[in-house]
Amino acid sequence: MLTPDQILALSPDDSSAKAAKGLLAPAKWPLLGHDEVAIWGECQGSGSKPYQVIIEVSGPSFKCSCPSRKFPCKHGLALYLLLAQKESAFTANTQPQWVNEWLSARQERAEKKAEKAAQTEAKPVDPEAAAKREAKRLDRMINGAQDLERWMADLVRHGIADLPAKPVTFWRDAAARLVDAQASGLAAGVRQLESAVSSGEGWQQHTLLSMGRLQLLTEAMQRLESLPELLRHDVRSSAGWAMDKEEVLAANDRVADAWHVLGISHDENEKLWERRVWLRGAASGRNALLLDFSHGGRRFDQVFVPGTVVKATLCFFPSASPLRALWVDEPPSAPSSAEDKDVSATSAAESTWDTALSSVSNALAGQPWFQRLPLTLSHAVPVFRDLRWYLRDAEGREVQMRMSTDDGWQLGALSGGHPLSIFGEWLGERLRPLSAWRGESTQPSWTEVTSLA
Amino acid sequence: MNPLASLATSALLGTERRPPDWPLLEGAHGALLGRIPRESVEKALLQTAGVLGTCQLAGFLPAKAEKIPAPAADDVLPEDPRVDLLSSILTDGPERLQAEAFIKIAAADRQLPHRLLPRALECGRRSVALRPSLLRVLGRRGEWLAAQNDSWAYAVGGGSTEDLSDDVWQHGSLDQRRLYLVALRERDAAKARELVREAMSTEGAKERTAFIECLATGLTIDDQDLLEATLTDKSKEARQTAARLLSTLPDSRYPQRMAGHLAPLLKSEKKFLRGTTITLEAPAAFDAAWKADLIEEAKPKGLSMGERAWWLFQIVRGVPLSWWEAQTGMNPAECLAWVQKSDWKDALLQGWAEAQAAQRRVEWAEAFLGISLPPNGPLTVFDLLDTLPPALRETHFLKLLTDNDAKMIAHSTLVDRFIKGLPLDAPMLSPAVAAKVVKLLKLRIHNGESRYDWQLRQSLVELACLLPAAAFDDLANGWDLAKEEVQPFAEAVARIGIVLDQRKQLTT
Repeated sequence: MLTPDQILALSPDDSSAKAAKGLLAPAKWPLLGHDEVAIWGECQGSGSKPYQVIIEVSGPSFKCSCPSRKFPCKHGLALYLLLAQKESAFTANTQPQWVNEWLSARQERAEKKAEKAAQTEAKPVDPEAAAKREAKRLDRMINGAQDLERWMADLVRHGIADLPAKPVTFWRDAAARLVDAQASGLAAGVRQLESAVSSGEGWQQHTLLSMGRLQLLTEAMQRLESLPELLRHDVRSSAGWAMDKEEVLAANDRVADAWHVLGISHDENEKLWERRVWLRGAASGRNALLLDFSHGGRRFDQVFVPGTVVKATLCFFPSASPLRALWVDEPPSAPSSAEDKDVSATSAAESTWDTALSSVSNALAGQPWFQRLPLTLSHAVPVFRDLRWYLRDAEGREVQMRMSTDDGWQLGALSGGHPLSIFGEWLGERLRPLSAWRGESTQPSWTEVTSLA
Repeated sequence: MNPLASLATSALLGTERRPPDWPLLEGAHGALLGRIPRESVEKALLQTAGVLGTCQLAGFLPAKAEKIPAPAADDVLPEDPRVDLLSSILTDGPERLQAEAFIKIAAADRQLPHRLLPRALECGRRSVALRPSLLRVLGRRGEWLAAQNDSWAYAVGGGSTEDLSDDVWQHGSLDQRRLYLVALRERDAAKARELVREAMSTEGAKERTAFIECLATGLTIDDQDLLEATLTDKSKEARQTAARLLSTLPDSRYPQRMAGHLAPLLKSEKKFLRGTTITLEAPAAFDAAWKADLIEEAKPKGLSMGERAWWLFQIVRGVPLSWWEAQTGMNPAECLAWVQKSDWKDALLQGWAEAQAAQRRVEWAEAFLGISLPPNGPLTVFDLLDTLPPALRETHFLKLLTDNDAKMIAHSTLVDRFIKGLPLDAPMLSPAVAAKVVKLLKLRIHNGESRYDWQLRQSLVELACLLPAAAFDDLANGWDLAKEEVQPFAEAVARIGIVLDQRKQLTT
C-alpha cells in the first residue's frame, strides 16, 4: 500500500494529479472495492456507462476503460488515493467478473512472455551473422567518435569564447549526429558540454575538463582492440553500447545477497525517463546500480522503496569497477523493511569527505568515465550558506549539494544542524543527495522529491 | 595558476591565437603528460585536459569552511505524529483548516513535525492571518529554520521568544516596522508610544500616518496627548487618523470638544400632552475655532449635501455615539428611527455611519442592520457584521441569507464575506445556525439557482471549516450529483468530504 505522496508521484504530469483530486468524492464512484491483489472501482464520467478502473497492487499496474492516453490516468490515480484516504468507502470485497478477467488475462500474457523469452534463449544464434552485425555497429560508433574529435579540435582551434552564445540547435545537432552513429554515450557527453558551458563562473575550465574526458573516450574507442578486456567493456558502454542481458549473464559475476535499497533517482531527457536504483549488499558490501528506462512517462514495472531490503541474486555488468547490475531471476515482488540494525544501509558509511572520496578515487582509477558514483557520508550536516546548500563533514569540509530549494529546506528542517547519514550520487565535485537517515534508524527520514534534470 | 585554468585560457582564445603553455609537473603525473604527442596542438590540448581533469576529479577534496553554524536547540515539545494528515492539510487545505490544525497541535502540547516546517513556513509567508497560530507550533526547530531564510523572517523572534529585535525598527521596511510596532504595542504599549512620539519629528508623512494608525492596537486614554499633538501635524492624513482614533476614546478631550460644538444644536421641547420632542439643527454659520478640530469650512467639490449639512456631518462623525444615547435618552434603534424625520437626515446618517466605522459599537451595528444603509457610504453590512460578537454575527448572517430573496448580493458573496470577516481562530457556528445555513444553500443549489455561482464552490469548502461536528453529515451527504444543476458542484462536494474527514481526524 502506498502513501498519498507516493501515489501522486506515479502521476504522469501535474494536471493528471490535479484532475485526480477532483474525483475523490465517493459519490462519484458507484462501485468501490479491494482485496489483497487488486483495487477496483467504477467512476461516473460524462457518458452513461461508468469507467471501469483496476489497479493490481503489486507493481502497481493500472487499467482503465477511459479513452485517455495518460498513464496512469486520473481515474486510476483517484482510485488509489481514495483508498488511501477513505478505505471505509470500499465496500465490495469480491472481484467482479471484469476485474477477474483482466487480472487473469494479464497473468496469461506474463506467462506467454516468459515462455517466449525462454524460447529465444534456447534458440541458437548464428554466431557469424551476429559478429558481422556487431562489427558494423562498432564501425559506426568509431566513425562517430572520429567526427566528435574533429568537431572538438575545431572548437579549440578557433576558441571556445563564443560557445555560451550558441543556439540550442548547435548542441542538439551535434548530439543528434552521435545518436545516428549509435553512440548515445558520446551524445550524452555533448549535452554535458552544453550544461558545462552555461555553468556560470569558471565555465571555461568545466567545459575544457568535459571535453578532455570526452577526448580520452573517443581515443579509447579507436584503439578498443588494444585495451584490457574489462576496460574494453567500460569504453564500449560509456560510448553508448551496453551489453545485452544474455552477455551479462554469460559473464557470470553473480552475487546473492540481501540488497538494501539506498536511494532512487529519476531524470528525464526528451521524454525518456531514466531511473537509477542504488543498492548495497548486506553481506558482500558491494554497491550495485539498477538502470531502467521508460519512454513517455515515469512508469516502471518494479517499484522500489528506499529503506527496504530485497533478497535476490544480481549479475554485474563486466567492468574494471563493476557497478551496474541486473536481476538474474524475476525480482521478488514483496521487499521487506530493513530492520536488523547490524546490516543497516549506512553502517558502512564513511564519516569524512576525505575517506568517502577515496572510494571515488578508486572507482575512477578503474574506469575514468563514471558520471555518477554512489556515496554515503555519515555524520554529515546540511548547511545553508550564501543561498546554497552544502554538506559539511566532521572535519568541517563542505561540498555543495545539487538539489531543489524545497528539498534543501526539508532536509535542513530534519537535520536542524545536527548530523545525518546521507546517501547520494557523487557528480564529480558535487553531491546529489537521494536519501537521509537519522541516528540509528534503518528507515530513511528523507528522500529526494524533485529531480533537477 | 592551476594548469587546467592555464590551458582553458588558450582554449578560450583558440590555439591559433594563443598556443598553450604546457604544464610541467613532477612525478607520475608529469611523466604521463610527457608521453602525450604534440603533433596536433588541439588534440594534445584536449588530451592533456582529459588527464588533468580526471586526476582533478579523482583527487578532489573539498575545502574547509571556517564558520560553524549553530545547530538548533533541542525540542521542548514532541512532534505531532500525524505527518500524512498534516502534510495534506498544509498542501491544499483551506487556510482556516490549517489554522485549526495548528491550534489543535498547540492544544495537545505538541509542535509541527520537522519535515513539514518548510511547507508551514511558506503558508505563513503568504498569509499574515495564519501566523499567530503557526508561531505557536513551530518549536525551536522551526524558529531555527526560519532564521536562515529571509522570506521567513516573520517567524523569527516573534511568537514564542521574548525579545523583539529593535533592529527591525531601526532598519526594516515600512511593513516590517509596522508589524514590529503592533507586536510591541501588545506587549508594552507605553514603549511603542514613545517610539511613535520620537518618530513623529523625524519620519516622512507616509511613515507618520502609518505609525499613528498602529496606536489603534491597545488604544487607551494614555495615548491622548500624542494624538492631540498630531492634530497639528503637517500631514492631513496623519491629522485625520489621529482625530479618528481620538473619536473612539469617549473620555478624551477631542470628542468632548466635538460634543460641545454639537450641544447647542440639539433642542428638546416639552410639548403639552405630546411628551418631549427632540430636534436638531445644522450650524447656521462656520465657527473659525472649529478649524483646530479639523472641521473644514469649504465642502469638497461634487458633494451632494449643502454647506451646513457638511459642517454638521463633520461634527457628528467626531462625537461618541454614546453621547446621543445620553443626551436624547433613546437607544440606537430609536435614534435611527428618529433621524428619519429630521431635515438633516443624510448628514446625520453619514456621520453616524462613519462614527460607527471607527467606534464599532455592537448595539449600533445591530440597529444599523435593521435599516437600509445609505448607499456608497462608509458602512456595508459586512462591516457591521464584523463589529458583532460571533453569536450575534451568525444570527444576522443567517437573516441576511434568508432575506436575500431579491438577490441584491450573490449568496457566495454573503458566505464569502461572512467567512472572511471571521478571524481564523473564531469559534464554530452554532449547530442550529449551521444546520439552517447548510439546508438553505443545498436547497438553492438543487433548485439550480446557484448553477453559475462559481465562487460558491469555493465558499462551500471554506464553510466546511466552520461547521460544528453535528453538521458534518448535513453538508457531506445528500447531494444529488446526477442532477444537472448539482453537477458543477461535484468537485466542491468531493473537497468538502475530504476537509470534513480531515477535521474529524484532527479531533481524534
